[in-house]
Amino acid sequence: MRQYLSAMVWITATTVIVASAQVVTTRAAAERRAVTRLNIELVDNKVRIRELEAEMRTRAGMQEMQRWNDAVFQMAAPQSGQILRSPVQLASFAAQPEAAPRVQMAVAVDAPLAPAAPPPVAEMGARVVKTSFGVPAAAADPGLPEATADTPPADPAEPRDGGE
Amino acid sequence: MMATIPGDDPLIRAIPAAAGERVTARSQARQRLAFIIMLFPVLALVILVRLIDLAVIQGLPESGGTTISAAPPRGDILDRNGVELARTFEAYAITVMPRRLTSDPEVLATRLAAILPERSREEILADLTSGKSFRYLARRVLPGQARRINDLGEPAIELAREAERLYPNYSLAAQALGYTNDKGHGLIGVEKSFDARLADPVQRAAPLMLSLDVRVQQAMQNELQALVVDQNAKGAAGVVMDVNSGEVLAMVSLPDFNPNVPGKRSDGTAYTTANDDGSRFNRVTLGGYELGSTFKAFTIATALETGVLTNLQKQYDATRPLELAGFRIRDDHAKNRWLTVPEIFIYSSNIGTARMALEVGRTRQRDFLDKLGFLKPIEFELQEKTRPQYPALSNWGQLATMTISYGHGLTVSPLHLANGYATLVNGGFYRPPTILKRDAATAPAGVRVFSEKTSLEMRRLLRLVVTKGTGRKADVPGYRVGGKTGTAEKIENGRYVHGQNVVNFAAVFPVDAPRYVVVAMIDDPRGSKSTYGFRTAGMVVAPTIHRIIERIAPPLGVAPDTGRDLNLAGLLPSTADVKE
Repeated sequence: MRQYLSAMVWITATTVIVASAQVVTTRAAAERRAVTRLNIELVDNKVRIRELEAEMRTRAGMQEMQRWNDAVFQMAAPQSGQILRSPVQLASFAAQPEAAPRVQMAVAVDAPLAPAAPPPVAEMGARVVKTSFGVPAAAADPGLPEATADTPPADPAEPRDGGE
Repeated sequence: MMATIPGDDPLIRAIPAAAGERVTARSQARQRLAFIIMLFPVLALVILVRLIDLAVIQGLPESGGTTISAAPPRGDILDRNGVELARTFEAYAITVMPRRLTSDPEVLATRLAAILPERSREEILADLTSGKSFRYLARRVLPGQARRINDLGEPAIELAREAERLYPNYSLAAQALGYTNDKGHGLIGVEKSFDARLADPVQRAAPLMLSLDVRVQQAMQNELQALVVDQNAKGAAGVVMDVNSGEVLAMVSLPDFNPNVPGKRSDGTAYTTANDDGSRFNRVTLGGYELGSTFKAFTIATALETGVLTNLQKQYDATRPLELAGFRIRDDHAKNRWLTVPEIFIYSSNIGTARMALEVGRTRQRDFLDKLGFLKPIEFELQEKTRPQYPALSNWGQLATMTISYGHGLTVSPLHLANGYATLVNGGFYRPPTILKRDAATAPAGVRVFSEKTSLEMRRLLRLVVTKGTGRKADVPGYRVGGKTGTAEKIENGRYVHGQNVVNFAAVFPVDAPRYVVVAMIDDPRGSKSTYGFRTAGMVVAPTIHRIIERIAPPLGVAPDTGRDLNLAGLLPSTADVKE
């Protein structure tokens, strides 16, 4: 009886071990298959990336760039005088405060300037250092303009010097 | 194996044994049993160890080769900054077996022509009805096109995946890179020289890095191409070389070709022996030219090095042409007076140089030319190399000594010249040039040919040519360019071609701390409006050198500095200028 029991225990234990080993093996094989599939996918993607890179680099090749530059950009190599040696040299280009010309603001308006308007900038030798765009005289007033057809807004053709 | 216990065996039991013997037999039997019992776990252990060895130590077996590897079938080629010059990718090829066609060729040809715009319906129909067993319908087909062709469902049409070599920069450095044949083997250039390395299954995963720089290559190719067009010339060659490492940064040979379709000319026609324009010929390494006055620098350096010249103010008689054995040596810019060495150099006096060479003598001249590598094919990786032509020792008399001193009677490649100038200005060290990227650590120490002092004197003289002499148009303010012009009659099939010149310019910058040598050569310039009809190096090549240096110096990191220059004081007695 005892011998039978012992045999049963052994058989059960062996079966359980074999079964669990089988499960482990199956799971390992499944994982391995997944890894292989992933590897193949990776390689596929790498090949695809290479193809796309090849296309991109062909389109952006030096000769293509040259063609674009000749036809569109027309940029030239910098002259030696355009290359600065140090930040100190860059700083030396900054104008002295007292030597700076009078600051003149230019404002672009919607309507063309009146032909009689004097050319103050050219006459006074001032340099336009700042411009702003698209602020008609009426709209520049504080508060929103009334949207009535009866009262036309202030004449936008009148030039504004802007002042300092 | 059956274990028997002596006590239980009926045969043994029948024989009465002595008590002592029985005990011994039983103990032996027990020992055997124990041994056998021990054997099983040992066996299991051995199997376990072997399993671990297989699974863990030896690891997984190499999987699948090309099918599961992203390594290209042939190694990529990169420039020194990692920009691709050549790469391989798998493309589709459309093949057809005309004998096995199942559908109507007329209909099929119409459908195929709609998918493959580069081929006409008639061409496709001719292939389909050729009756051959196999034809290529198209190669390098896009994946989308391949899918549409597959959808046609014709069983005689097959899609094959082929490794295709792609050169993204088209004709840029075409002769240096080379191209491959249908089987993927290199035929010229780097593709041929490094064929084994590029095809090796282990090494091909890592790209081959060249010393070329596409930016420099493009600048030089573009400028030389413009010059060839302007001068209606037969061709041009150009090299940019690092003087300290011997790396070749640009190698241009014009006319060039598109290595993506090496069998076809730019107009789409196929190459034949009749219409071959020499575009696959690498003029930089395989072309042999008499390079003329650029050689005078080597004569003066040899004279300085051998002690013939102890002082640059030594004067030579250039009052009249030099005659020897019925041969007359004369000057193009004749001054008809005695000239100092700097004057000989900036006026490019053949007479003065020839007299100097006579003082140096044949043996020492030959010895130095040999040390500079001018008497043998250049030590370089590419296999397309010219063998220099020079007189045999028995024929190398006084006349040869004199003519070779100013670059006539000796043919070398433009790469020889560039490397010679690198040796001249880098402190006097000869290093073989290379097309592979060299780290500072792997650059060879070099063999000393000239002393540091000679090198410095030569740099001063080269600078003088650009500030006061024939090379003034090559000067770029701030970059301290030095150089020498050269003009020689063209040689074809061993004979001089009358009226055709090869003009060249060898430049160095910045000359106070040399980094790069730029050599440009143009084959048979015809003169143009921009050069006022002149065909001399100073008028034709020097402005191109100016533009090339202006374009390549910023990307190469050479900073312009108008505050620095070589001290040229004392070279010329007074401000002397030479006019073309």
